[in-house]
Amino acid sequence: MYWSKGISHVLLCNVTQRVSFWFVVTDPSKNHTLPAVEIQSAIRMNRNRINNAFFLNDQTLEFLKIPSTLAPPTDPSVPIWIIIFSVIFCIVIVAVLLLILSGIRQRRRKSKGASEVDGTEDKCENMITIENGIPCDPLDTKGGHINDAFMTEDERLTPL
Amino acid sequence: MEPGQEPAAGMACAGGAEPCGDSCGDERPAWGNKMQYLLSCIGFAVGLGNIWRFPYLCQTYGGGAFLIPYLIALVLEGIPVFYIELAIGQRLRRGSIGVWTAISPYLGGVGLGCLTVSFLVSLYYNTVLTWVLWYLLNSFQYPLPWSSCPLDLNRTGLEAECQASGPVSYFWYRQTLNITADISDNGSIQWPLLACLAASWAVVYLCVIRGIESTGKAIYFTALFPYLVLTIFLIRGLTLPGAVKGLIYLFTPDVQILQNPRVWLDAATQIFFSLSLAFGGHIAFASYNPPGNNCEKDAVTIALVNSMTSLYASIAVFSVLGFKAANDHGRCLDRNILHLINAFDFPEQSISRDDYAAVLMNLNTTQPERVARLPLEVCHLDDFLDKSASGTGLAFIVFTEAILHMPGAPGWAVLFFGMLFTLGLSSMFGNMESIITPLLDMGVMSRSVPKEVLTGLVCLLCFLSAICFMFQSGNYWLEVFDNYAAPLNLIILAFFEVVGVTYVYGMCRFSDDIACMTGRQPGLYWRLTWKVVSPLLLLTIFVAYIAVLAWTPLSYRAWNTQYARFPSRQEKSYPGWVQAMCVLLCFLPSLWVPAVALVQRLAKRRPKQDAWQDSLWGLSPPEILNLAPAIAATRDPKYHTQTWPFLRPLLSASLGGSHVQWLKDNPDHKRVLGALSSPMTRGPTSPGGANQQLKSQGLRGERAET
Repeated sequence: MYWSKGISHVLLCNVTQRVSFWFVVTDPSKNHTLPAVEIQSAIRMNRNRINNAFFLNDQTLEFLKIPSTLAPPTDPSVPIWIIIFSVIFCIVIVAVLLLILSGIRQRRRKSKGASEVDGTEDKCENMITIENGIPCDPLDTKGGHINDAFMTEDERLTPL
Repeated sequence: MEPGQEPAAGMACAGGAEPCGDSCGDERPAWGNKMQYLLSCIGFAVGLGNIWRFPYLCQTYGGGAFLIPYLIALVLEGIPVFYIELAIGQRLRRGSIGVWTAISPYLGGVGLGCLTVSFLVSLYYNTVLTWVLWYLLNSFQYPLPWSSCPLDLNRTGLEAECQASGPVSYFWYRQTLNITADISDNGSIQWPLLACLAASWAVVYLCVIRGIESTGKAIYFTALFPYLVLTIFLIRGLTLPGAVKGLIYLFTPDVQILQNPRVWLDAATQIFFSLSLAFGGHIAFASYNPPGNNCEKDAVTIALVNSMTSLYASIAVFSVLGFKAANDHGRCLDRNILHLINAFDFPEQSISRDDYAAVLMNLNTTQPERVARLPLEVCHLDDFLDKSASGTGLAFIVFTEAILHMPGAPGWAVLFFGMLFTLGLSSMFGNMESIITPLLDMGVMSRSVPKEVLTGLVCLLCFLSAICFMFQSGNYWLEVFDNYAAPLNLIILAFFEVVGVTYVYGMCRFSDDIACMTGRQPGLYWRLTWKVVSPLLLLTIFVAYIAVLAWTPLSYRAWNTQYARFPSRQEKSYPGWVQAMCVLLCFLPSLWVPAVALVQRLAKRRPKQDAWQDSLWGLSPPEILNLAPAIAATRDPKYHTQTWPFLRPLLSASLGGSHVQWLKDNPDHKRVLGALSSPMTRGPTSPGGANQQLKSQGLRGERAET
């Protein structure tokens, strides 16, 4: 019945930029207004319910002198970096141990093999030493013949 | 081969020849294949500097115009010195200390200097990797921890420091470094960073545990992964809005800037440090090569790949930075538009970014006083594009902020920091090899101790020394090391390297060695740069660098929350003791060179005791025999021509006529004494060239008969 009268019967006064109002809360039994501090802490605790009642949020429904409490970001119980760090560290330590163990095993196998083979062959036979780009004398003892390098002496030396 | 030249050079180096540097029967480790060697050198050369130093220099010094001094420096200084390192390492088959001791005992200090510089650099380089690892570990979450500020104590607003500086800077300075306001204020150890330091040294140890055997396998991943990520970033970056504008702005050449001598100095130093010269790492890598490897082609290839990577990386980086600048510019406009809408009661979203300029001009003509009272910022895209950063600032602040705005931010962060970690890791391999190879060659530990123990001890020592960077003031100390420990020393050492090889070792002998290895003598370009251009250039850089260092006051920029103009960093000068440390770091490693030379000189002047010892360095006959292999290893002909006349009667005297049998029983001495007996046809002290020629031909004639 009232709505059919239309908007012309609604009077506005004290128009501000936004919809705003002051309010006090009274206690009918004690016949006095509740102190502002109590109201502020009550509103703070139930901010979410009040917002939802108006379908508004902290940015659009502002209570003066009541700064809104921001929601902290969700913190997992164990920081994620510790989890990944422990995974990587464990993998690295295991790999290092594996490499060290395989190295020890290799060395044991080699020393067992070496003690079986007799002596050390003369590996120098086939080496050609190089001085200034010129192959040095390959002093090999193939056939056990006497090496001329030590027979003809003085002609080859630089006179001092 | 021209007729006048020494014909022996062409006939030398039969396949599989082993030069005198190695004693018989000692198997030097070798690369698994050529690819491992190339990738290791490329990985060593391509490092963090290619990503965060070269783009900054390009941007500061006139975009594309910077490439001109860069390429000139590469051709005149970078490639020649690099080729010398590879060739001398491959020829003498020793690490840095062994090589320089073999060239001349007076130059042994160069090797020790290289070792010290490598040690100092590996300390702080791995600390940067620790920070990268920390960021990498924190990238596996959404939202990223540096995207928003934490709340303050009563949760009514954001943390004050964070609100002033921005969440990205806050995460870097406060939550990662927890930095103090002054370098003398050490603060406490950052335990999360210490854990990451242990992890990164463990990873380095895992990869270098068996020397090149293990790095050769790891390098396939660590050297190639960054290229994959760079390509992904390039493709993604080029499709972002604002990227192309950024690329055009940043690469547009400004040729006027070439008149500033600072540009040339920075180009020369950049190419020098980018190729990681004078660390001894390339010498160490090349020493494991077969002697017949073509090191000329390797040197040119690796240097060009390094420079191409710098260019490739700067395109990727600039496109992302262009996107960031466009983003920041857009938000600046949005803030101004909001001011206008609020002040003049325009409807929401009625002014778009493109209309802003026109609307502002309109309002300025109609209601200038109201417009003047508004806190409007000046928004020019070029101002945002000019905001450049290098070093850790680029990686941890600018780039991380750019990543925040890319869709799928955690994935991009993981890729980016993974790339930085593998880039730094492959450079660390070179650093560690340049420490470990000389120690192995010097025989610091006996042969029975396995190599794993030596590498483990080196890594442990480096880890314990690097703990000093884990304090709250660690970042300031890292800047001290970065600015003063490496640059000057490397230039000095490189100068001694070039001069040592070209003048002390002898250009002719070196050319023959190269002909031996690559199959032809080095051309005019190489000879000219080695003899004249590179030493002169290095000397000029050295003098210019000292001038620049002396001119700039020793100061640093501190992160001080109490500073009036926070979040700008406060310029503070170093306290006296820190300044003394800077000067010490600048020269200490290079002091090995004169120190060792002095020690060698004093050792030669030891008092003589009798005729034998008169001419042979004060040593007794048994000592001489024992030293015979070492004598042969030294390349100075003067030693050899003096030794033989004393050794021959020595042998007859001590062994009687059966010295031939003795020689058969002592293979080492046999080979070495043969080396000592062959005539030297070149060298500064051998007289009578013609005589030498005849003698050598006679020698070859005798050998042909037997």
